[in-house]
Amino acid sequence: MSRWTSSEIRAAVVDIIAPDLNRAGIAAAALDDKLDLLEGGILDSFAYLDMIMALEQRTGISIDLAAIDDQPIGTVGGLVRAVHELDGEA
Amino acid sequence: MKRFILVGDGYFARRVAEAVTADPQTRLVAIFTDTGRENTVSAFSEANDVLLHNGPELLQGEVALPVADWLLNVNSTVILPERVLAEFPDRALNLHNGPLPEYAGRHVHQWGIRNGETTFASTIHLMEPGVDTGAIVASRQYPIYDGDTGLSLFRRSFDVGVGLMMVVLEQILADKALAPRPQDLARRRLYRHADALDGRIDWRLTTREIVDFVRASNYRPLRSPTYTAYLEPEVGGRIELFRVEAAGDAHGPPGTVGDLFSEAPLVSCGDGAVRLVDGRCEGRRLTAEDWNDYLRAIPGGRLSGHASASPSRAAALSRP
Repeated sequence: MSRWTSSEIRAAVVDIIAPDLNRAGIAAAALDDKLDLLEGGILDSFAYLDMIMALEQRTGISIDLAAIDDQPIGTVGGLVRAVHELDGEA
Repeated sequence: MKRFILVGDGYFARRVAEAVTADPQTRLVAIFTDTGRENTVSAFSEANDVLLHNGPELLQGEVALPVADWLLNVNSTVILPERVLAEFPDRALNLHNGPLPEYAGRHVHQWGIRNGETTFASTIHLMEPGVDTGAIVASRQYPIYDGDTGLSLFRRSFDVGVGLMMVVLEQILADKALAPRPQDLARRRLYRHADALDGRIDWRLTTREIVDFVRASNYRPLRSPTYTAYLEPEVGGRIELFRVEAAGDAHGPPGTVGDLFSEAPLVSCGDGAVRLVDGRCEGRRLTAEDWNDYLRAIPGGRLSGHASASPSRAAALSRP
């Protein structure tokens, strides 16, 4: 049973990366869920990892990247789906 | 009131910043971070009205050091100059993500996996001009599991380390002596960034060594800060490896490939064979057909070895 909805997880992700989006000139409201944050240069590896750990802290969901790395977790949409599934498995 | 300066980057530095500011007996007077790439710590600084400086300014002497009682260094690659450390005699602490004196330097969690360690440790030590040579204030062990990767161990090492830093902070705030103990520098090993950049697999190594070499470099979906294990067949370009498994007896000399039509072909190595479970070319995971295309054209059916920069255990060590 998931404790967090997909919308709530997405909102948390967008809030965490808001400074990065701002720096890239992307309005949070206009963020395309298919945009790859890593390949698109929004986050580097360090910032992506920081974002994952901040998301863990906010939601209490343990995010094992090795367990979900076959999914498109570079995108906001892919990450939200994967984390939502992890939450459901907990 | 105890005043702190924090030098560090990323989420783990932020957690220490949060702990310092949470206590009414303390004041975080400044943060030095890599403002060129940093957001987590910068955002914390802005939200909590803490003076923020770019980390390299410390090195270049471009900024006057604020008056403080303690300096904490967390997940930072900045080597603090002697003039800065002189301001904090026995009051500058570094959180190092490996056991000392055996694992000084950089990326030591990856070396812990490569060297076949099953336990590791995070260490807090006094800072002095030598790299990770100062007396040890506290250390805490944790396990390395068979399923660990370079990334998972990096996270555990700093997670444990930040917890340890909280304990040390409590001691400082309670005015308890820290009782640092000098390192036995005869046992010191220093790992440098340049020692860990070659990811080509030497098939003469044992199955265990190759499995550990590969998983230590696995930072998926991120890029490893050092090497990524790879093989380079005659055609098709470089294949990066993220997971291999021990697979029984060898079927030929080291480097001999087999089971070509499999999703996970075999390669003989020094004492058996490994199965290539996760190989990728330009980010795309290889299928059985891909593997067959890449590996069937190898001259003599053997991948070349690699003598000059072997990733064997204890290689690339240097003494201070």
